[in-house]
Amino acid sequence: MRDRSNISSELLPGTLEMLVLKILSMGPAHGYAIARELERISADVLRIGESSLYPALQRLLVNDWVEAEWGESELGRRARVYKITRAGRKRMAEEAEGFARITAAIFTVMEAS
Amino acid sequence: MNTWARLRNKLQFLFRRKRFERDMEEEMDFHRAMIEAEERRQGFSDAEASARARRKLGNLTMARESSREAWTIAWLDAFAKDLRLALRLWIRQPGFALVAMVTIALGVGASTAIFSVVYGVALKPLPFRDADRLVSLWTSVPNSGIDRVSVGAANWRDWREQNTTFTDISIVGPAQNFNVVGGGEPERVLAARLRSNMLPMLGVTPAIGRGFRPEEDQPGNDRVTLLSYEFWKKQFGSAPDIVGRTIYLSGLPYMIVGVMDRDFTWPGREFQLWIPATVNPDDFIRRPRSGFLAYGRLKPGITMEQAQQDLDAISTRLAQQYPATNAGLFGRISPLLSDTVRDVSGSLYVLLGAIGALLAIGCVNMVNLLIARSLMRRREIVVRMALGASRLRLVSHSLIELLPLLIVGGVGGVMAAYWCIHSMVPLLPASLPRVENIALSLPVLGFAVAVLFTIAIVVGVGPALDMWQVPLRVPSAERPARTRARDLLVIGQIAITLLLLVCAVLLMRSFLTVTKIDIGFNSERVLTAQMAIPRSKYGNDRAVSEYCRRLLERVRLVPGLESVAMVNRLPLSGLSLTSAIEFDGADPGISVNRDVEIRNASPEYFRTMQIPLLDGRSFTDQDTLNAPKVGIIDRQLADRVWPGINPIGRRFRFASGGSPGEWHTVVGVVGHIRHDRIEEDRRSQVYFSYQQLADGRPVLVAKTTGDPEAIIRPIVAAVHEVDPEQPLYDVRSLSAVVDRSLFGRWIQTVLLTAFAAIALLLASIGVYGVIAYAVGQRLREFGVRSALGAKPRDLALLVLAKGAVLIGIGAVSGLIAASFAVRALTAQVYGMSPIDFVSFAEATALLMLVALIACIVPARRATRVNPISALRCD
Repeated sequence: MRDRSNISSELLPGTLEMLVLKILSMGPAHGYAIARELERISADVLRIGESSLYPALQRLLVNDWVEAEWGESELGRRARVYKITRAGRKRMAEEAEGFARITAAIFTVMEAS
Repeated sequence: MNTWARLRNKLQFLFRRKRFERDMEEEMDFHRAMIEAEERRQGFSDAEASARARRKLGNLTMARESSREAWTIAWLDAFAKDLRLALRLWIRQPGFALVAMVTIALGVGASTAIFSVVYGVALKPLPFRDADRLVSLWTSVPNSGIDRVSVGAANWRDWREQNTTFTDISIVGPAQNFNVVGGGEPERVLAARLRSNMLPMLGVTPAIGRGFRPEEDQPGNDRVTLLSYEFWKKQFGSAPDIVGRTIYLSGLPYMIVGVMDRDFTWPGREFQLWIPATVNPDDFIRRPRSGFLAYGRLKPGITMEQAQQDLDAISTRLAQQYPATNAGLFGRISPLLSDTVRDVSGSLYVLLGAIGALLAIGCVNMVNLLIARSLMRRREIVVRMALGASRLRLVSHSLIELLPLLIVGGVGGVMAAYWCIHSMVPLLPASLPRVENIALSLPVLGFAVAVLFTIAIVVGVGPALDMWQVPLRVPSAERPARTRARDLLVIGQIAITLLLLVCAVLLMRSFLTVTKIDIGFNSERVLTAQMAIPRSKYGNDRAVSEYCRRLLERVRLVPGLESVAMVNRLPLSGLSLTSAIEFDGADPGISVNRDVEIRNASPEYFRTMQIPLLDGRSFTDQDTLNAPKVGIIDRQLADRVWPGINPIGRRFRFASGGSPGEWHTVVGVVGHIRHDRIEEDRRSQVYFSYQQLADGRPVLVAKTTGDPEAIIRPIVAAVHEVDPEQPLYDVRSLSAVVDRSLFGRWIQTVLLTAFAAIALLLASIGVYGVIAYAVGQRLREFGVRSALGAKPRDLALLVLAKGAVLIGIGAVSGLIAASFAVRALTAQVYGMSPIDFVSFAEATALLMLVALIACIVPARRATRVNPISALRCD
């Protein structure tokens, strides 16, 4: 039994982007911090691979939903810090609504007798 | 979705690739460093931490790949990759690339250059409002064999007043030469006469000032003029206050009423001035049949047929009303544009067709080469498919491969066309109408692009289909279907080449025939110069004759001349003067000849031109106005009107109009000459003494002992000694005049011959390619045959037989095609039927010879097969 989801392949498409947006909506962060934060909040259930995280971030960048800037990190190295944009917040709200609708529907199906 | 933001970002990415890679690298490094730090915190050593971090990170390359994918436009990326691949490929195989690019450049360049002429001359609308409703009107008298002559003033007036289908009909009068004396050499300018309603009918207004007013069409009121833009600029320095000024034309004052636009060159670009077209009031009563060029504008919605019917109805009425002048006379209309270019559009389309055929042959060669190449690359293709390339991708790849060749070839072609247009247009014959319209205009560029697209489709479709059908295994032998396709292509090439060759040989033989025509005079060492004698200065016929006599007397003193003479129209110069002549005592049916060349000549004219004096005497200085009226006729006329009778002492006179002229007694008979065109013998000549029939536009002709060009300056100086204000123009040798009259035929023959030669070269390359390939395929078989005792000669014959079959089938199809196509040349072929056996035979023989030579090279290779190595190979 696995207790961790490999997000990119098993979740509904677009979910990873929604989660990243959500984490960024709580404050700017670099890639590593985003991955950590996701693990922490989901109590290690959702672990995100680098090979999914960075492409997802690029997709958000292309759509202008996040911005990236090189800044100083806690280690004193240059780190690329991502920040959610206004369009990104709007997008996140839409995605969350859609996701809620779908999960509700899935529950309904599963609880049908 | 954020379509716009995405597109913008992706496009920006195209220019920020390097930075993206750098950022990505650093970000990954940072990520790894963070993991390492984490591992170290958990107690691992530096080395262990680094190793664990790398393991945890997994496949970074893949992460980077898919990150990049987020930014790229998928198809553009694939396209760029294919393009890079193609460029590398062509750099590795420059031979084929070069041949293909040159073929494309030549094809696009030559066809675009020819099309620029076709478009500028024959297709571009005339620069008038609703130009497609403008027509020209002609007089035709079917019973007298008169097909197209100018329109008489009275008929014009009646057609204009009585029609219901024309908005208006206007006329252009005979051109008029004026001498303008400004600074330096006196200058001769040419003025066109336009009726006052002409400009409004064309829909043109002057750039400055006004057009002519109806009252200015009346004789006596007509001393007004419109200037051309160039003339205004040159003579008046573009003075803005030009309207109302006076200009002296041949000594008479004319008021300038306006300046036309720069692009107004109507009815021809040789005109610098326009003056009103007056009509002698007498002409409305006497009703001469010709005299003016008539143009009309159809009312909206009226067809050519309706207008023609309208005109026919009026003509019938006029014939009843004025039987003496209008019986059997009809008006004919034709669209103005096609009328303007009717003499040339046929040969232009022939050239365009020829260049198209040439282009087709060039394309076939490229297709053949591409097919051969794709066969050689079969292995590579199969490997690529096995590795997962989709057929669609392969097809698009094979098309993108051609793109660099097409682009370079296309750009080169347009540049070549530009160069051609700029260097060729000044060389085109002056008689070609609308030359000023030939340019690399937008429609011409569009044509170039269309040609390029056609080439792309023709050349690209073969390889693309090939990719689509390729089987997923390494082929052992070529499929017969493809060989057959290549054979067919070569057969087509041979056929088209033969077609071009037949046309070229026909034109060449016609040209040779034309140059052998006896034109009736000798153009060697004769200098000619045109003059216009102003009536304002030399008021009557006597003064003009006297002036001419003085000119001749003075010029005769110039050293280096054998003889000097004057005539009023030079043969083959494009100018003519005809009249109806009545011959005394001839049979009633032929006593009045309505279409005779009228010449006035000075005594030495026949000696200067070496026109043989067959009987009687030439004119003398005693044949003056006061002396008995004399004349000389040509042999053709003598034989026709007075057959079997000595013409000396017989009489003829002008027969036009109501009052016939005085009788002239024939004193001599001279040889007949070709006057209008070398190819066409249209009219006989009647000569008057230049002192008995004055003409204001004489031509000076001088037989020189040496190079005629060397005598130009002394002759001009001699003329200016008599009258310093007398301009001489069109000074050139008579042989140059003769050559110029043949220039159109010459250039067409040269171009078509050049096309045919290139076609022959391309087709032999095509034949060579196919035969050489076939030999390559059968080397093993030839080895076996040779081992079994076949002699080299047998092997060579085997190869030649294959070539002969292709050439034979191609030649037969070519001959059949040619027998239809040469009809387009009917107007250009001279002295033979377009289906001329000799031309067809010569072209076929030449083709066979060259094509067989192209087969001999591969055939020799077959004879040199070493059986051992042939059997071993593979």
